[in-house]
Amino acid sequence: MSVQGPQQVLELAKVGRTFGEGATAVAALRDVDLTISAGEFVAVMGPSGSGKSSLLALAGGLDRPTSGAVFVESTPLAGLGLNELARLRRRAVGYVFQDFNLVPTLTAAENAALPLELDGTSARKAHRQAADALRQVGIPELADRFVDQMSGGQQQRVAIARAIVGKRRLILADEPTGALDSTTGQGVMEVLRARADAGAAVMLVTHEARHAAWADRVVFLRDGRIIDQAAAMHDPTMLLTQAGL
Amino acid sequence: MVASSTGRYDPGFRPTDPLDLVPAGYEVLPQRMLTLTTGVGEALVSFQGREVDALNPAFAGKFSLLDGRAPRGGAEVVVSPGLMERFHLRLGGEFTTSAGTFVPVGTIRDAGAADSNSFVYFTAGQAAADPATGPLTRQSVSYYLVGPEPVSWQQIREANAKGVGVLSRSVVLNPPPLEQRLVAGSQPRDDSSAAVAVYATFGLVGALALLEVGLLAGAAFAVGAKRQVRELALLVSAGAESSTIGAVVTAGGLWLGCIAVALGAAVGLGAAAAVVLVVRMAGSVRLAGLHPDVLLTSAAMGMGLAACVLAAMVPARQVSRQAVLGALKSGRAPASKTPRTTLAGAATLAAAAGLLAAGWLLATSTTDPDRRAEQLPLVATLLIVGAVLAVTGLVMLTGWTILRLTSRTQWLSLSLRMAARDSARNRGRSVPAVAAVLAAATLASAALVLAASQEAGLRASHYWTALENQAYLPLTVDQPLAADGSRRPPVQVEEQVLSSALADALGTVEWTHTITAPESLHNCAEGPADPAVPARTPTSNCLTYVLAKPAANQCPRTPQGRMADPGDWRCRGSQVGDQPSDRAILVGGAADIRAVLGREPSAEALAVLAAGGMVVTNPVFIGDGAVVLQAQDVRTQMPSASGAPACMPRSGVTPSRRWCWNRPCPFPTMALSRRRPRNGWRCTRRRPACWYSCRPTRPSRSQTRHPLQRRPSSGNRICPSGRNRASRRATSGWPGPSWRSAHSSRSARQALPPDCPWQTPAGTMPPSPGLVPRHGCARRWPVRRPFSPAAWALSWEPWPGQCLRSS
Repeated sequence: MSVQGPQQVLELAKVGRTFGEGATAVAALRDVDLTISAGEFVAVMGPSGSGKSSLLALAGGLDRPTSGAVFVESTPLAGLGLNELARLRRRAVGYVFQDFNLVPTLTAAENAALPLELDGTSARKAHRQAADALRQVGIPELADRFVDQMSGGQQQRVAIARAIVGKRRLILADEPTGALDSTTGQGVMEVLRARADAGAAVMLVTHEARHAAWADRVVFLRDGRIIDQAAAMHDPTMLLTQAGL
Repeated sequence: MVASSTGRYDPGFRPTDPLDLVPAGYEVLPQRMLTLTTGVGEALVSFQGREVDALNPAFAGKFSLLDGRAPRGGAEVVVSPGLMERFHLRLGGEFTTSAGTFVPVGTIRDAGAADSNSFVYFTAGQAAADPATGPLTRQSVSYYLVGPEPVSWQQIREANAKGVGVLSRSVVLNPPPLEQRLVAGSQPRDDSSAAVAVYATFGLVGALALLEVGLLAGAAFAVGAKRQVRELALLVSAGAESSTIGAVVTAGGLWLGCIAVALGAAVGLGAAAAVVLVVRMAGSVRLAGLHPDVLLTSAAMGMGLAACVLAAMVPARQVSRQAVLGALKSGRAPASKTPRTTLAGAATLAAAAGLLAAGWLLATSTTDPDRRAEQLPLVATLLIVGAVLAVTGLVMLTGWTILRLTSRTQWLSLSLRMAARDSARNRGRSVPAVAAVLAAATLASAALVLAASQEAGLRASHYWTALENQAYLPLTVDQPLAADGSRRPPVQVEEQVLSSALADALGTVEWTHTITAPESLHNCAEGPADPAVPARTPTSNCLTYVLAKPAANQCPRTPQGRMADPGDWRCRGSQVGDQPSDRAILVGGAADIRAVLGREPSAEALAVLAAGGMVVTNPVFIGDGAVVLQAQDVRTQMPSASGAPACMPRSGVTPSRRWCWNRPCPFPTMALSRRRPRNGWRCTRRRPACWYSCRPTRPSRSQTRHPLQRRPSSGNRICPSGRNRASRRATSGWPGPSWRSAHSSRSARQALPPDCPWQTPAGTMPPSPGLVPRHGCARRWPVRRPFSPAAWALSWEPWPGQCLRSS
């Protein structure tokens, strides 16, 4: 049962997503109910094919559910057109992909400033805010570098900077540490945690329990259903035990 | 510029001296053209002299001193560089001409003539007194006027009224309205439909070319957009709207288009400037400087840019609508499952078919050429837009077509199967490629069809000069003026000498053949015709010979001067357009006609020649079984100085069987169906792959038939299968698809006027053993020199004699 309130940033109500039709139909998500409040860091765990990425795509408005409803800051995404969804994504949602997904023709600062520029913010102001975001993720000196001039960890930090730039209240991270070494991954998790502590709602999809341990709450998915939710545990192995994974 | 000429000869007209009409305040700079000769070895070579103050400051820009200095009087002259090179002269050396010996002291360039021309520029009086400089004619002297004001149109009209032509730069640049330029009573030739047709042709090719540019650029942008799809999906995930994505892709087109257009224009202008510079430096005036057309160049640049932008908009629209998630994961946009493009393509194709059908129906809605001309712009627009839409529709249906074609490919070999399925799976890549090839093929097809049509028209109206790999050379050469100003008779070149020289020059001459043609124009005196001066003298000829077209065979025209029916046999065929030149009239026998045609002539043609008849390549010149060879005095533009109708009677000319085959049914597709009349024609297949017989179904159209067709003659048919239909054709008044020459020859000969079969202007007539009948001539008229042996290489047969009237 969902509870709406001013603190709720993301709400998924009975969300289902089916790919394909007829005999080839595959249900990626079934009746998922999930709520994330401001300042809350939620990790989503589950085996491959459990629907984690689908859940994240629905939450970010990159995909539409076949059943149920998705609310971002109390706005039902089902009623939004393509351009309104785009506006929502650039103003309220920050998305961090596993493989960074930076625009190679833009510098680090320009990549970070991209949502602001797309929203009509002047280039100078956007760059100023992008520089601030890069400073938050610890790479202010890389502002003028292009994507192919940075390491994987640096690229992921730029991607996080792009996700947190401006007044984003929902940050969605799809295995942001999957392509990083443990030290760099640790740094990324610190950035996300800090952002949640600053008031943003963060949803992290991860395979690794040690990263999920950074979350306030862990949601377990299997076969498209939430099978369990747990509060934060500082011992990562406990998470796996609890979820039976 | 002539404002008031009717083009008709007025024997009572006396022109005014141009100098009497020079407005006050104008300086007159006369230029006189002189014909001079100089000796080179044993030959006298002619060249041109100009008596003009070329270095007068008023001629700045027209004449410029290239080398040396200005003449200081005496025998000093300036010359063109071409003359220096041609006669191996050097500055300061002597140059002996028919007008005296001169010393070139400089070379000069005429902005209106190439440096390679041979000119000597005299100062006033240097050569004026010499009688060998050629007669003064209206064309040999011109006057440049230098004054404070340009010569106005009104002044031109006043001068024209007195027989003086004026060329005014200001009037040429700002011509008066057309109605002022027309002479009262003259019939303006309406070429508007022809102009529209030309514009329509170029419009169609241009539209297809632009479409091809758009599709080629579109294909490139589509492939580029596909490669960029993940990057664009990133923008979408970051919050970019569809318009932003479209702008990103379109901006690529704009950016690349700007670069391409700017570079293209720069390279084009640079290349043009270089070519012009090189050509001008070489002394040629073929290109009159670099004059870029800013308006047209800008229009072309704008069209190119528009093509690029439009080409980029289509993939931009596609990419902006793609599924972001799929694009992010795979870098490929999942193919759309909606049949929107297919339906739109089908609708576009249907619209194209409708437009093309509308254009066709509109074009065929009337048979009135004037009405057709009025409708031509609309018809052309419909057809052009229809063609463009048809290509667009086909491009939009390409994906669906590929999908359908590859749905049953299991029986193909592995390589073909993979290729077919790959094209179906990657339609985003296949469609642009197919579209580009489709557009190129469409443009090429349209251009080739138009070119072929034009070539067919040229073939139909062709008149003989020489066949491929042949050359013809005159065996009669005029001599330059003698030193005393007299004109000597032309030189007859020996056939063997010329053939030998030709073989030496070319190396490979398989054979030569001598043929005989009427004498060409030469030494024809300028000015009003003096009745006392005959049109032909031993040293001059002012007569041209043409085949007269009988009044009944004139191409029917509308009140506005348009061809009433382009398919009418009187408007088609060899030499039917402009009057054929005297080169198209040859005299000879079987060997000559073989050489001229380059193939074996028909038996009928040979029979006609053997019978003393004349063979023509177009029946339009035959009237009542006769062909009229008409002489025209070019001095008066009148048919005959004697006033009698110039005629070369008879010569039943037989349209060959081939002509019959080629001229059967105006509607080829109709020939397969028996006796289904259309547009007044009934066509019946006579023999498989042989010919069709066609006849008008309405008696009122009898004028459209050839006169010979109206003459029943059941005994002259040669079509084997026609015998059993002979009586039916005879009763229908149509002789059948082919006929023998004897028929027309006999009837023509019988129809000759008894006393004047051979009236020709100035009492001349060209009898010949071959093409022109000797019948009666040798007995009635004394035979003197030939019609004038203007020899035309290939082969020669001496003209046997010339008939003069005895009275």
